[in-house]
Amino acid sequence: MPQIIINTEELVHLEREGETFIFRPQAEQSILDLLALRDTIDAHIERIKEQIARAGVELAPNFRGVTGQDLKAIYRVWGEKFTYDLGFKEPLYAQGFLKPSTVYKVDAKKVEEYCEKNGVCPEGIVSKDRTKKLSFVLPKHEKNAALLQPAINVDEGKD
Amino acid sequence: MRLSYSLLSTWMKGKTDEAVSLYLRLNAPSSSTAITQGKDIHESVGAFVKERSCLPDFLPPFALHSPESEKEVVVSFNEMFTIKGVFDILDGNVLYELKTGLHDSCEWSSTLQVPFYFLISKIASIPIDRCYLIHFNQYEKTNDWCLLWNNQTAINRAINLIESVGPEIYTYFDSQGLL
Repeated sequence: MPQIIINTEELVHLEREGETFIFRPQAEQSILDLLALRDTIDAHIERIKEQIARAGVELAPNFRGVTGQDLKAIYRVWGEKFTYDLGFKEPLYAQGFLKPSTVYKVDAKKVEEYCEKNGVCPEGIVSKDRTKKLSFVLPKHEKNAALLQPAINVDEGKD
Repeated sequence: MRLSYSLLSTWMKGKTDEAVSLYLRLNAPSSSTAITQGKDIHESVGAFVKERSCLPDFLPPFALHSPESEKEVVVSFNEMFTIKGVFDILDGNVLYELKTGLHDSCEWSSTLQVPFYFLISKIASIPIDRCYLIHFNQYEKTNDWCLLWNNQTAINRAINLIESVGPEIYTYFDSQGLL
């Protein structure tokens, strides 16, 4: 089995260097080195996923995944299972296949106006606890992909 | 007391009456068309495999060698319980478990049914190293499958299930004079 040697001292060194980015512009390179390392590992993991999927489909069509001891590899589509044609909205709703969904959002501007005028928030409005977090954005990766996970409902067995 | 995965999962859903009917093998009215269809499909696949030693066309084309279908295995778990499983298809060291309905094989793989079967096979000294969980959607006429490797972690989960839920079932059944 090939041995992967990770110089943890060098990793810690890069981390310590990178932390000083706000004081030293040359610290950027340490961050870029760590990001490049992460990208290399991610690329290997992506190729593993592709190969498992390919091997699974070659074994038999409609492959869905492999479960091991501590790892589950799932090969499936994500997101909502169905959508509907707007032209059929009324009959589908009449047949019970659609349900109306009402989404309420706080009008932040109106809440802030109320707070300024009254010194307190309207009853029932709660400030959300938002933690600031730093993220790295690379110019070529500025679009973010959303990954939706399906809910799992389980039916009963047979014996 | 004899435990099956169906009994354990029915009990965990709070369906006490159904669990009693299941245990006593009473002919409870079919809870749904889906379950009736599922049973019919299981039986027809079992008969097909027995006759032709291969899977029917509507299932993934896994090659079978010396398959046994609907193999019932009962083993002693401890002084309180025996546990029973019915393996849909056992072919050497490979188990094939068939599911029907809307939930795909990936969803079924999250349940403890296959680990339950791995536990039974270990106690019975049947050397199963993997299970192909095959799903057939009889409404869309589509299939899908996933692979579950046998390992001690899965077996331990099954043991934990029996040890945590089994005594509760036993106590109830005993109090009702059903044992």
